[in-house]
Amino acid sequence: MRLRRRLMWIARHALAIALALMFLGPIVLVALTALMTDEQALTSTLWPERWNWSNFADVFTHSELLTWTVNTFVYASLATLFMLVSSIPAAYALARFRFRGRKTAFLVVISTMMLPPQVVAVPIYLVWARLDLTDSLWPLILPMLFGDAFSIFLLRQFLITIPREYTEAATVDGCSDVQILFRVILPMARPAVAAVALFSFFYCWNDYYGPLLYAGVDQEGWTLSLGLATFKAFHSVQWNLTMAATLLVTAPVIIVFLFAQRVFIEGVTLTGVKG
Amino acid sequence: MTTLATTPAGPQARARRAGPRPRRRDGLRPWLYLLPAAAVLLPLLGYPIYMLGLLSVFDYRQAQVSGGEPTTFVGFGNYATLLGDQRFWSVLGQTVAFAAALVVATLAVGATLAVVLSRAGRVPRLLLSLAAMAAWAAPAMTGSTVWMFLFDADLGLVNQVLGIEGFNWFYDRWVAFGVVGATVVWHSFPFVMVTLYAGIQAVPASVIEAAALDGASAWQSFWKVLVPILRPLITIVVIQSIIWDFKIFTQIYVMTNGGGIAGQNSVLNVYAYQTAFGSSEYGLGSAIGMVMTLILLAVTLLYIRALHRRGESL
Repeated sequence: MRLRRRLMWIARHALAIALALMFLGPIVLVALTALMTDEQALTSTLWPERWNWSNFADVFTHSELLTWTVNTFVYASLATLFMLVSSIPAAYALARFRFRGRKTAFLVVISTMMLPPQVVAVPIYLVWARLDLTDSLWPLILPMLFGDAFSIFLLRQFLITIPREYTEAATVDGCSDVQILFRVILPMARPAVAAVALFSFFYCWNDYYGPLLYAGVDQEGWTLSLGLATFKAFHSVQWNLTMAATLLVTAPVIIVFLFAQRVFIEGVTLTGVKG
Repeated sequence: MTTLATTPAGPQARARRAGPRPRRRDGLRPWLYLLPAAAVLLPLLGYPIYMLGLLSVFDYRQAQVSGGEPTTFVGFGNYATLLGDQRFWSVLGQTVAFAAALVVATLAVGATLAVVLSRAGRVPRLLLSLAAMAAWAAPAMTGSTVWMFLFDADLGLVNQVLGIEGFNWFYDRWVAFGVVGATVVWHSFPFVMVTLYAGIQAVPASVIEAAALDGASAWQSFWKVLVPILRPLITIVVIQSIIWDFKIFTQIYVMTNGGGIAGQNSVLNVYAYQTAFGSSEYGLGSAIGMVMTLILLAVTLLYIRALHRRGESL
């Protein structure tokens, strides 16, 4: 019996470690390849003979990586900021007030969330084309000024858990709705706000379809994901550079994610919705 | 008051809501807050779908966009073209089958790991969460690049380990789907794992112990105890995954270079993109968009029903 239990313990841990290695392995391999010389990256050895740190510098001179990073950062930050400004009041309204059409409004929010932007890409693209805003990232940023369905949903799910007593007490004390939102609700909802902000930022940072459609042909206006796709095409024999670029693009995201993982997990378990 | 755990929630709040409705309706004020969102949710949902429907019944190409040619009403012509096209049907079938396989695989991997995670010791748990977080955070684009590198015909680690030289994983339709599918699962299992893990944590240990005392094996207590308790959560995870996997784009587009040889690995989203923006067939592209909208709308209805069952008040 004791032997059996011990064997089970070993099996479970071995499984967990093997799985972890399976998922972490590729990342290690990428890092090692990123440090090889051109020639060695084309061989089957796994360990760099010479640590070629200059690859990381070469990536910047061989491509517009810096511009792409700036573009991606501007896109993700502005979109996130705009999303917060518009989605917080909307979620507040859906969560706190009872009014005719509230259910309908919420159903519309859910339906919007379910429909991927790709589905209605044609009509929306034609509108932006008419406004002459294609070949830029504005078509991806400006709509965020008008609320993002997923964020509204997540925030609302959080806000409905705040007991009415708080807002009622604030009303008795003479707070207006706006004051309640800023002084009472927002401080309490900080974790949810952090979660939607991070979700939104990551979504934009990782977005490929949007920039592919709107960013145009000029490399100056590209984002990282778009740039990386062509980087591979242009440097197909230089796996070391491609992997160095991949690492440079991915590492910051993963590091931020690891620090913020509690926020993410809270957001996910709160709503059962993925970002 | 700043963390979820300390927020007074749950029963208290629910009891309050179940009580008498607030005396006064809030009248117009809520709409004021909703205005920015409503102003666009309408355009964002209503207008595009209306336009999508409208465009889908017109012959609308580049010439019409630039105003070179008048737009002609073709009724259900685009739909007829689409439904009469062998390729559309094979892409549709592929999309549904691929998404179904992905949902099953993601759920199997995610659920297994959630159970492993809930039983593992500290170090393996830390390693596993770390791996999951990395996969979760990695952009679809970089994930695709890395997997393409792993499966590269000449240099890929996979070929070296298996000792097969020059085998191209993206040549055969089903093999390519397998590799792309693995990439997608690698990206999406963390969400399932984390959600179910949180659910498992919330199940009182006494329930599991009681099952064990009654002589249930680990397998039995998973299916007979955990799954029924977590069913509402599982439903939502499944529906989320369906929607997620149905609209897969980046991995297919990047890894199979726009849908593989002669489009053999194409899925609806890629097909729609190429039809609408590659060939500037906006009318036909809209018709594909309409078909996708209808399918996803059906799934959404299921989602709303699931939310309802979970006891959400709308």
